[in-house]
Amino acid sequence: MPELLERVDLLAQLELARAEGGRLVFVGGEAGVGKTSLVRTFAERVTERVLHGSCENLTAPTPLGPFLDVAAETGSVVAERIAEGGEPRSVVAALLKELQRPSLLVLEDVHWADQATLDVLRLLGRRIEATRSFVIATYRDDEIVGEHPLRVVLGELASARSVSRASVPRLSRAAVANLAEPLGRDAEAIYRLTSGNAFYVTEILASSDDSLPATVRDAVLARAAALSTDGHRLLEVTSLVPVRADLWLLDRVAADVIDNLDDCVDAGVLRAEGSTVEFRHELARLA
Amino acid sequence: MVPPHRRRKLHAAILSALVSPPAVSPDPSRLAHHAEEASDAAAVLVYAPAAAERAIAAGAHREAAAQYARALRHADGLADDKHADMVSAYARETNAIGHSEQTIEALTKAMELRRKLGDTLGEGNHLSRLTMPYINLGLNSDAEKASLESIATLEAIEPSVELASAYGYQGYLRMLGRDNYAAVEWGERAVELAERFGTRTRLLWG
Repeated sequence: MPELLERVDLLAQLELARAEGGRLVFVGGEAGVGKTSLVRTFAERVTERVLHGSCENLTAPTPLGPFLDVAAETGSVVAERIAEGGEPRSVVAALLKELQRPSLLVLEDVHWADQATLDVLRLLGRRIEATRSFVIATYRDDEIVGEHPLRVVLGELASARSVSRASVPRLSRAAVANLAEPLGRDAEAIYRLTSGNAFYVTEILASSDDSLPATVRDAVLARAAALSTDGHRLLEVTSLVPVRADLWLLDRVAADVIDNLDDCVDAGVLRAEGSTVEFRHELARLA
Repeated sequence: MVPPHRRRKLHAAILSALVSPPAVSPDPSRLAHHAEEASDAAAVLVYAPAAAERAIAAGAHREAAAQYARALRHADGLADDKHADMVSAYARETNAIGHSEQTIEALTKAMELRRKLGDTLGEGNHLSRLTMPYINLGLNSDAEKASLESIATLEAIEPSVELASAYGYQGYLRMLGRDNYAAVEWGERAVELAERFGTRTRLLWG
């Protein structure tokens, strides 16, 4: 992974918001622009507990999915409130109690959030100030067009003192050159093709080929092409499990090819974290 | 990336792994997703409604509607009364998120199924529930027609809470038409009948 370029200001903006006390920041940007990398880098710098929740790219995602993730991490009353039905007010109350302990809560891809999760976010934004925690919610700003429910939430929270927004821009021509030139690659051509989309740039730089893959999908497939047939089969199974796959599940469904996991990780296609496996990027899962 | 034939098989394998012990608290939303991708209609009809019920409890009506819609895509083999219940549940959720077109389509379907089953109470009930979504779309003459039909249908059988509710919808329509006298009259009939059943809550539609 190349170091994080052109994100100093954004990291400082996040740091500033965190220093103010209980705050919620929405971090927007197009798919692959580097929201997750930014948040990961930020999370590595903080000393408090880091909690994660992510939304799924499904027509009908699990209600309160991201808070189920949080509940699994904390084993708190949040889990009980959700098990009781998950009425948003009671979930928020439990969450606020949990966030009295200084924490960084990262909620990823809230443009895919279910309605109950959005209700929780709405209430959380209004009441986060009473906690000592910092919440970052990432979203694809190019996907919340028209009457997208997240837009309504962002609009409602626009007046909340403890809520702000940040936007992750594409990499500049200079940043792409910084990454490409040490590798002897044609920076200008790569910039023109990718418009500075960080994921796309990374995928292209990972391919040793001189010819440039015409789409992100091609770039991802080029990376996977180096894998064995069994490696491919493992990728296939993993790609069908939304967002991240539990190792035990892969163990059962793909027992004969699970040994290829390390190869897939080394090739930069999959990422193994704890007891789960995920694609390095959701764009790769869909490729 | 995965060819269709293998895709379906793999989803079936994932589903079966997720529901066999010692799997921990299987999440019906996830199971419904894999069941649909595996083209396993029987499994969809189990998990999608279960996921919808869970979504309703959390107030996630959009997701509940999507789960019922998913179940209805696989409802071909379902008995008429089960089918009618499911369409009706779907209508309730689409109504909750203000999708009036889908609500009208679903209520009409449920009404037809109830009529086919000879269930006059169910037929009249679904007819009367059409009033509000028609009004929401500005289709007031359709609302009027559904309302009057529902009253005629329900008056042909013994008095019911559903009839009280139908009177209430008619009162609301008269109110919209600025016919205050008639509005109050229908409203009073609704309240009087509802009270015979010890409830006024059925009148609180909206």
